Amino acid sequence: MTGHDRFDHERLAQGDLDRLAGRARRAMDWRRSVASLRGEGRAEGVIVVADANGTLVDLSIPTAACADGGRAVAELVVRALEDARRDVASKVSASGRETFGEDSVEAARIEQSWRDDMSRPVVETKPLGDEPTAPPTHARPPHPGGW
Amino acid sequence: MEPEHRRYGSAEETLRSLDAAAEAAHRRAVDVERWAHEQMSLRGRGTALGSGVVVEVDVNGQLQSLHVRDDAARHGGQTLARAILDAQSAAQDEVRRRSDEMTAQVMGAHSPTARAVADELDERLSTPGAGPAGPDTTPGGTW
Repeated sequence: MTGHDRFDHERLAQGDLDRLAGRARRAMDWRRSVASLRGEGRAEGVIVVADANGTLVDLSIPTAACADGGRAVAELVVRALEDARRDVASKVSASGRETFGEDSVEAARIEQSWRDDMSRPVVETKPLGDEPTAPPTHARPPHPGGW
Repeated sequence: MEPEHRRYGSAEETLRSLDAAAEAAHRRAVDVERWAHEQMSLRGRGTALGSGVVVEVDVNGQLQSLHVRDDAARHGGQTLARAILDAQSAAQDEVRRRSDEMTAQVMGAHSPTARAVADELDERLSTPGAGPAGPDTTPGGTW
């Protein structure tokens, strides 16, 4: 190997390192930026906000949604949360495509990872052992906001 | 000057000491593996409105189960929403507390690893109420 070859090789390796460092920096910046993303989901007037991890961070429940009892309203919260998680997953994916490029490996990984994570069934809502069996006191109105 | 074999002990002592070090390293590896497994399967449970609302979260703070009793639902939407968020916070606090205990036992309470694990959890466990969903101001609504 000549000195010139070695120099070129070293320059190439340094360039690779720089590119890798640049990608790592972009990935870290992107990760920080998605922390502030939120997704919103709705189910019969129940509104849920989920963060980029799919965690429930805010919740509104119309009183009418409580009319069919505890289990029914819990199921609405879960449905809205699943909707919110799909919403935030789609925002995270869009942000990944925008940051790393439509056909980039990073965007594909982000899409896959968030889709898998957010499509997991959220929770169980089966009644507790001491769940009262009282029937709903009155029917829920058909449209949120209309009570 | 002390002869070489006195400074380092006999071959038998050296082997015994190496065996003990290997055994300790193995025990630690087993402990750390068990800790990692337990950490990943950590669950926290929180309640509100007496036990009318019970929430379980995983180590990421994500809701794993939500139980609402009929009598809790009768408090109305606004109170119930607050109760669910409060129960979730309590469940997340329990995850933090149990993680701290487990980590302190295996890694040492003030170790850099324990600190890093606590920081990671703080980052993962969100603060409820930080999102944009607020009470609906639509006339006729109650929240």
